[in-house]
Amino acid sequence: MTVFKNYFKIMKQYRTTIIIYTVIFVALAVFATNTGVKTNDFTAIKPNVAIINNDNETVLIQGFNDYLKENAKIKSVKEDEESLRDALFFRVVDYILIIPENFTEDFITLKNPKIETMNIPDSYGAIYTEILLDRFLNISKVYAASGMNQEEIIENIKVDLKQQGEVFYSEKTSMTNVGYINYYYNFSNYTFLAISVYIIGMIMNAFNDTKIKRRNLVSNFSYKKINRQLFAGNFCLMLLIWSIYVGISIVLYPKAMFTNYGLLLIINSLVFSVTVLSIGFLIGNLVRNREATDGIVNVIALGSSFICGAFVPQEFLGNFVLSIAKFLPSYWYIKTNNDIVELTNFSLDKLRPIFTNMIIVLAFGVLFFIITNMVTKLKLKKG
Amino acid sequence: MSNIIKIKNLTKNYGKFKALNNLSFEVEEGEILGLLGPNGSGKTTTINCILSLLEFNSGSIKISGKEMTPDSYEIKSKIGVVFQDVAVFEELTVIENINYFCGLYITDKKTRAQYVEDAIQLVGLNEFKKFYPKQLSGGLLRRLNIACGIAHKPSIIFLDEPTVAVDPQSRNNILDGIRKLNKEGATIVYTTHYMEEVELICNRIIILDKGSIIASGTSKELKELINIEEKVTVEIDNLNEKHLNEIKSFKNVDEVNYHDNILYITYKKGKHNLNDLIDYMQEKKIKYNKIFSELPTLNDVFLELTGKELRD
Repeated sequence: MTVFKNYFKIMKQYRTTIIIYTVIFVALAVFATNTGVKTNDFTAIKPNVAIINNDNETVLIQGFNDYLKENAKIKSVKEDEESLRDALFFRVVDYILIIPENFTEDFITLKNPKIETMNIPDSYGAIYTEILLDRFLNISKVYAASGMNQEEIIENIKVDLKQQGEVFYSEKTSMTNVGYINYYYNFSNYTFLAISVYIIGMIMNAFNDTKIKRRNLVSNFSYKKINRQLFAGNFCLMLLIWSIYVGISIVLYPKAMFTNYGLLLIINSLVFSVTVLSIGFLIGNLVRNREATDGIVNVIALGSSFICGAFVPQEFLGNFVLSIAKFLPSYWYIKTNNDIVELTNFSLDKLRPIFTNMIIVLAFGVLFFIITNMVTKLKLKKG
Repeated sequence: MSNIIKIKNLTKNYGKFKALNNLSFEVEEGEILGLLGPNGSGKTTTINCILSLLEFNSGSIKISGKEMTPDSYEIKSKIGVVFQDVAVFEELTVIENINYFCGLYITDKKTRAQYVEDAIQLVGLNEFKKFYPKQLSGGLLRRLNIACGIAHKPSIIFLDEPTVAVDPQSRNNILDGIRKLNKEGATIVYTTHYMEEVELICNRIIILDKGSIIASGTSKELKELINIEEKVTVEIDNLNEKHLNEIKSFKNVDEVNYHDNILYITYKKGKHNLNDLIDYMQEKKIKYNKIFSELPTLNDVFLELTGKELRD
């Protein structure tokens, strides 16, 4: 175990840098998690709505206006068609309602009059206004059909629509902060990759010095044996970094971490850290200078975090980006994290895809280790 | 004595350039073999091929009767190498470095500790055990480099120019150490372009040029290959053309040069050369200040065989 022991002697020389790096990146992860996740605030949005009334100011219209005022921001716009289109284009309003002449009378007499609408396609405000409009008209229609006059309809509708839907967070997210640990562990893609590639690269530089390598090669140690012992050294280092990361998550979010979600996230991150170690080991074997390592850290850690959903949730990423991301272990790691927090029960059927993803992540690690050995062998042949 | 290393028809090409051209030689067990040649003559390439650090185009290398390959770990366990460039960990102290490289061969902790201590004593680094490489002078670094290569007490040692850019004190220490290792039974292959060193420590010398062996033998045998007996240098204030022509006509004189008041005479094999010269100068009343006589060196051998100097 000479090479393995020597690894730690060399690591000792870089302890200050290792501590500084670990502290910075873990602090960054904690900060990002606490500022990036907002799970306990809910405010119903108020869409911007314009009403063009071509009918008289009837009780029904007045009642409809009052209802909308409670749930939306009423904006006044010029009534010509070009101004209306401009208002939508420049997002002054999300939705425009054009009430036709004799609307009230036709409505009461059940002639089913149409309200003309214009909206910003697929905007949240427009969809929400549509719902408000449907609710009002559908209920009004029921009362009108029962023979009520305008005053009676409005009076009843006021009572009915006063009922507001309350937003409750599921037990999972509100009580245990699973949303936080999900974000924290997704962010670990960046943290683990940045720390491992940088630190492993730094230590491996000492072993990869051509002169040292030649001396190792003329000894009775095979390059495979040396690689195995170096990998074991790197594994211990990675395990230490992983333990710190997991330890902090337990301290910060104990309720969430002492659940099945927490346990699965820990297992997933351990699997991922082994793969990260393989990546760091490969880069450490390929790259011989510090500056190049810095550049590679940025490309690999930041790049994979962006395209695989560590910073931006995967559901917001385009299909093309996700198709590329599937070729990276980070994608499968983050997907597994997201799938874990979506679990509603922990039956074997539900867990099977989670463990399959973990195996995919681990397979990437094995692949990188094989590539490292191939690269070493190739370099040896070249002399 | 048996041949511990056998090299047969070793050829190494770099594209069209022939770095080693059909090289064949043997190393006897217990000897110090010197590989002498100018920079680029193929000394280091030969060592790298022997150690399987370089693939070669043709030929065979046998050590202890077995073919040497990159996987010949049994053979490798008997070999110690001191590379031309210092190969140590900057992050480790002197003792940690030696302990690491010795540990690649010796697993028993107690034996290793003793071997490390012996290596430190051999190269005289006792006072610098806890020093880091960057705290050592060039000469001390070279000594550490040697200690790292030989700490495991190998029976075959390759030393590739271990004294390049070393102060005289460290050089003497290194050469003494090599002699001591040889006395303890190690076979040594020593490459250098310093002819004085090979003359001092090597039992046998191979002279290389352009990847080929141009001569081999003991120092005496090599010098007998050439037609020079001695070289005489005389400091004379005034010497005219007539005198020079008369000196040139002496028996055994090969070459005569006179410039900056110094007369250089090279003699072929023969006797009483210096006596004849002194008698002539006394007879002609030529006043001289200093007179030196030198035996031919390996550089003269190289010069005569190749037409150029060793340090060209």
